[in-house]
Amino acid sequence: MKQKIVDARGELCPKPLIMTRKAIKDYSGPIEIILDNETAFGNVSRFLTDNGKDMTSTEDDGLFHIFIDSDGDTSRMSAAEDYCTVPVTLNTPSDKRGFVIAIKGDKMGRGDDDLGSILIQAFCNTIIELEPLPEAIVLYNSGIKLTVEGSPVLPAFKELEQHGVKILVCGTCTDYFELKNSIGAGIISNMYDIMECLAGASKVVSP
Amino acid sequence: MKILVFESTRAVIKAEKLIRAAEIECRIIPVPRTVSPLCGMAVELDEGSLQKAAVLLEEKNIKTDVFDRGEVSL
Repeated sequence: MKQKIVDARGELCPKPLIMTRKAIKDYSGPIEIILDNETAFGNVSRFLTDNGKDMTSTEDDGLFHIFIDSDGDTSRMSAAEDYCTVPVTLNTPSDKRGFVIAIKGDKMGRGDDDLGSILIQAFCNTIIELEPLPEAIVLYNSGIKLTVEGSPVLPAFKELEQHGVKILVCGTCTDYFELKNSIGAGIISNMYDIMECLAGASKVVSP
Repeated sequence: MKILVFESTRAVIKAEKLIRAAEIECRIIPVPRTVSPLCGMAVELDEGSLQKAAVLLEEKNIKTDVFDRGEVSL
């Protein structure tokens, strides 16, 4: 069967996601998606796998190729834009941008770990009381441990996510702590997304 | 929901460990402003777990004041 090619080189999020979704809707058969930046590759991959599409991919000299078999059915697929992790703040005037919370560790402050542990729990459980809510929460280093299954504050992050707060969990850190499969909230993210999220914020708050 | 307030931060830390060790679900929250203006921590748990938690705390001589979540504003 003839392969359809989606050439999303030079396109910024959410365009590659929209092009991918449209191609799946319009065409049944093999589709190749070509992307030239890692953020778009990450977002499109996540969009496809979350929506149950088996994909294979290759990277060659900065170009990413994703191969899928389309059944032409997008009725049960989520909205493509939801997978765009480039913060909307980047295109928003600075006075309209939200703030971002960066959680750098699983304790709050340095000195005593038992104390730091209850402080960070109280901090995380209180975020939901804020008005307005933060636009995003970025977790890195041991901070990612707060989002794993069994964490006492996982329900707090799930609730924030339901309220539209974007939660970015550092992928390198989940790999380092071997917790990639235990993350219970947020999206596993990369340094590009984290950098864009922090740089696009009106301010960054850290416990 | 019930909010348990303790005499010291060290008591909160001990209480949290005891309660979690007994596999009782709880949440650490800041002490509501209307209870105390100081920066203290409190333990929040389901009303159904209160009795079990209270017994554990009493065994270890940890004193606590219990407030109803509805009575206090944060």
